Amino acid sequence: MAGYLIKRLATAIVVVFGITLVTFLMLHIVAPSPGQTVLGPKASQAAIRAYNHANGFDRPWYEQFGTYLNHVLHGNFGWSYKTNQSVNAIFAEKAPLSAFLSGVSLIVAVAIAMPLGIYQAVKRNSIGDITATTLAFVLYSMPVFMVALLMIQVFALSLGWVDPNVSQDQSLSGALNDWKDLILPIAALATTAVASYSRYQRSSSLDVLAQDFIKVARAKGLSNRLVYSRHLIRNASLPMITLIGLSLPALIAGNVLIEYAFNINGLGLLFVNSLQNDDYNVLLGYTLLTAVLTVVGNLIADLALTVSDPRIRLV
Amino acid sequence: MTTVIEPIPAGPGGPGSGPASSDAGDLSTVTTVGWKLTLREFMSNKLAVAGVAILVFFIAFCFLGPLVYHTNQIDTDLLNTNQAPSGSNPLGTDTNGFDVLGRLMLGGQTSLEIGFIAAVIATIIGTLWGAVAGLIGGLIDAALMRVVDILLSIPFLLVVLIVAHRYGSNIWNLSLILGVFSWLVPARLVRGEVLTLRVRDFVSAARTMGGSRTHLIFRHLIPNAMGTVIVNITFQIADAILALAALGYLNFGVHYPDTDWGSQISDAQDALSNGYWWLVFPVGAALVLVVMAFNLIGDGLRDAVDVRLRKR
Repeated sequence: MAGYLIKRLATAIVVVFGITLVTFLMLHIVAPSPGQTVLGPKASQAAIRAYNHANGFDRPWYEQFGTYLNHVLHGNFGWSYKTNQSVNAIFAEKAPLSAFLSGVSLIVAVAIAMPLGIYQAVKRNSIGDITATTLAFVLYSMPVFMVALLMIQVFALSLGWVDPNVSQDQSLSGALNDWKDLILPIAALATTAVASYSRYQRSSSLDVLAQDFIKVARAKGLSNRLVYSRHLIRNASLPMITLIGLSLPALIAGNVLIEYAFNINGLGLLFVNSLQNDDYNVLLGYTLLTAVLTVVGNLIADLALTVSDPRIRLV
Repeated sequence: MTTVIEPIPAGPGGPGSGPASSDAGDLSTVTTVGWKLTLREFMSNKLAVAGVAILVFFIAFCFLGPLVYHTNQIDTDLLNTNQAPSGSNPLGTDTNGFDVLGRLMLGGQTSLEIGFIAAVIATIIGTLWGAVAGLIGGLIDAALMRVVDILLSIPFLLVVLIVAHRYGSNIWNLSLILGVFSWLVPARLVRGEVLTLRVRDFVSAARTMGGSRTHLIFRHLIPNAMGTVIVNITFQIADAILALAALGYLNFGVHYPDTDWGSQISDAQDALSNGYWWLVFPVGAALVLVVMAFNLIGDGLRDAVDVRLRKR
């Protein structure tokens, strides 16, 4: 176990270093001279040169990368030109709301998709299964913002159950005071996730149902209930752990789109606004943060899988 | 879709070991030509055929439609904005006074073209990358696949947004950007295929006869991995169209006078609360239908290719 853990951690560190390098280089190529963006289009060439020199943007890229890496390792993501505060401060302010949105929708999605997929597998080709499969297929082909627009039309505009305008509070506690406003964003995020998770859960349950040990369990005379709860659910849920780990980038992309759709003041909307403002340190920081989150998520999923399934050998 | 419990054949896919029982209906015919089997299996899949039908309809609608249905998509018409559907504008007009039906065709052209070109670019890069990694193996394989791991960890949408913000705005650039960042899945798939293919006898034979690595890759490995690649390309197109829609929705799609479906939805977002449903839902329906068609075709092709491998 220890050997595996060390090897897995070492790979993760290499990947995180690679991510930092790739993201940094990408933004460096896209924006080699931030002076112009910061000082504005009317700034003189001398002023831009002076700014770039003062901030070290005229040094070779590997030196700049070294400096950036050093800062990041010390927990400093740099300065946001546009909002004139440190990137750390903005992230600390906006992260709770985004994390809440993603976290709750992930939990809701798993809580719906797992029972749904198992039910579909057990009652294969029943009307319920066919309906759910069709619905999942349509939703799977639907971008998350389209789901959001449909929900706004139906639940906010036509039925008037919720307010289409979401609280503009940036803090999590402020947004939670108007918790009803968060129902639609969370529902939209969860719906698209359910569409893909339930398909995987269904097919993994079908695979398990075809296994011999299910036949043996039935032959022993176990009731369906026991066969499903003891033998099916546990085995069929294992692939879901990996899947959830792998779906983190999609969850983050969904977060960006949903925060934009509902105008929620989280990290995703910050990213889109920073793009329009060329606020590179924010872009770099957010991309890096989400990428590292993805790596960590995959690592946790792998470890959780090895813990929950003793058959997986640690090599 | 259906999981049939089959008797385990001796060596799956091994020559002459195909199961001679079950599927009684197919036994009488002796076709063993791969693509014919695939095609017949594909055509018997109703959903996949429906997918083809939807796709053919939308291609005709977007590319031939403007030849029949002439609209002005260049000059805004500010006296006739946000008109409800009527005889002269079957789907109404948008916030700039463009006819929505005509706009739908124009946006569809862009979305389909970009989806297709991006998928082809991604598939070419991914196939070569995966084939080289799988064939050479060892340290080079490890290095190449770590690159894939790294790129796969950076959320796709963020990367594409950053690059598209600076270099996007027209069809070719956006296709290139989407393609260059979405070759990771085909690379992994092809590497997996190559790993199983390269130990097969015909590859060893080619190698023994002095075939170079380039020869092996292009004559033996890629052609035999083609089934997987073609199945993947349909999903790749669907994903590229969705990614483009997301870019357009966030206002980083193609620029005027071109448009794409995502940009159209984005422009129309505020229209919803004004009751201008025709600005959002026809475009949305077209987008979902086209993506669904590609997914249906992909599923059908995957089943068909599987069958071919099983029966050959």
